[in-house]
Amino acid sequence: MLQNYFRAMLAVLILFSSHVSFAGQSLTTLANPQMAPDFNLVDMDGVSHQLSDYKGKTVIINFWATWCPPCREEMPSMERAWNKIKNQNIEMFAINVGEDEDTIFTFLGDYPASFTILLDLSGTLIEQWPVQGLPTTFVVSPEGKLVYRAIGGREWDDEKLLDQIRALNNKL
Amino acid sequence: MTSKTILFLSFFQFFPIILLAQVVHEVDESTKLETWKLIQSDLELQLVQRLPDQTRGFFQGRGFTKQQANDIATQCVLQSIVKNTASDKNNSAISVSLKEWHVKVDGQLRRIKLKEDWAKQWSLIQDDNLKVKKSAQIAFRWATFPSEQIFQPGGDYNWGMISFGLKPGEKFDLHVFWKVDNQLKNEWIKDIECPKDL
Repeated sequence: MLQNYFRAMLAVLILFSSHVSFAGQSLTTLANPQMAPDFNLVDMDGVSHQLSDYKGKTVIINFWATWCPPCREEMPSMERAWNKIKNQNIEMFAINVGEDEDTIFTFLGDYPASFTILLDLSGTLIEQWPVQGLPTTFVVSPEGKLVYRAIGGREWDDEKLLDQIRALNNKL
Repeated sequence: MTSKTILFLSFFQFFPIILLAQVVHEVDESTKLETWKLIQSDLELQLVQRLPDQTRGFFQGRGFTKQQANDIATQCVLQSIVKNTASDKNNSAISVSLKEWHVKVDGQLRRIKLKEDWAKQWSLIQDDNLKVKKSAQIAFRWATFPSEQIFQPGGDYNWGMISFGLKPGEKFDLHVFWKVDNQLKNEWIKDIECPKDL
């Protein structure tokens, strides 16, 4: 009987673990959404990106650094998410805080990212955003308002989470 | 083993957090670094030893001079991870303020050394040769745990170093505070050891 019990427990554990990876994660809805602070930052190719130019699109903005363990952990799922949403009127910017291009370039050898990496070398921009720790991610609505926030990493390719983001485009 | 015992054990297997709200102390077999984990309702707080050499290397690689990095590394820097483990969005946010935390050493209560204390210390340096570079201060600002932070249910967590302002090898008790629904909660984590400077 005991053997059967342990077999059953093992089966339940396997079943449980295969469904637990995305369990419980969500984005925090920000009360009284404020306009996102505008920025003009350059990407790894020296091209400038101004947030206000992306009005009409939903924009995911992630603040990160190469030395930050949860930032590294979530980066592959951000890439997978980007491949799902890049043609759905959604933009994704990962704003690196305080590191130079060489450091980031080396990092991207191990963690490939095809979404846009922006540089906040002086750490000035992050001080204007309501960020306390890395990584922190915001979702900006097509109207330019901060609507969702995630403190710490997420599994960004979770369909439930992406649907929450995609739904912002439906409100246009 | 009776079926009642099996049921009881099964419950512990799946819901250990609910029943065992305690501090768990572990030693990593390979690194020998110690970890203290406090699980209390939806709060999970983990403190992990960092060898002073790890901390020296980290900060020297980010613009601090050898002497400046050594000053940080020898003030008992631990890696901390704080998480709101509640998945239900209706659960409460958890607010953590390091300003409330105290260490107890030899019966004396002391505040911990916050990132603002470090910034103030550096701002008072007059000699240009000893000043801490801006880029180094940015790295420190974001690599250290925020003095105040709110963690919402649904996966919010943060990592960061905390400096306790003690010497390598020194032992202390840590009185941690956090708020849930504006109610202040607290717990002691006993016998934490600052990593030795090997």
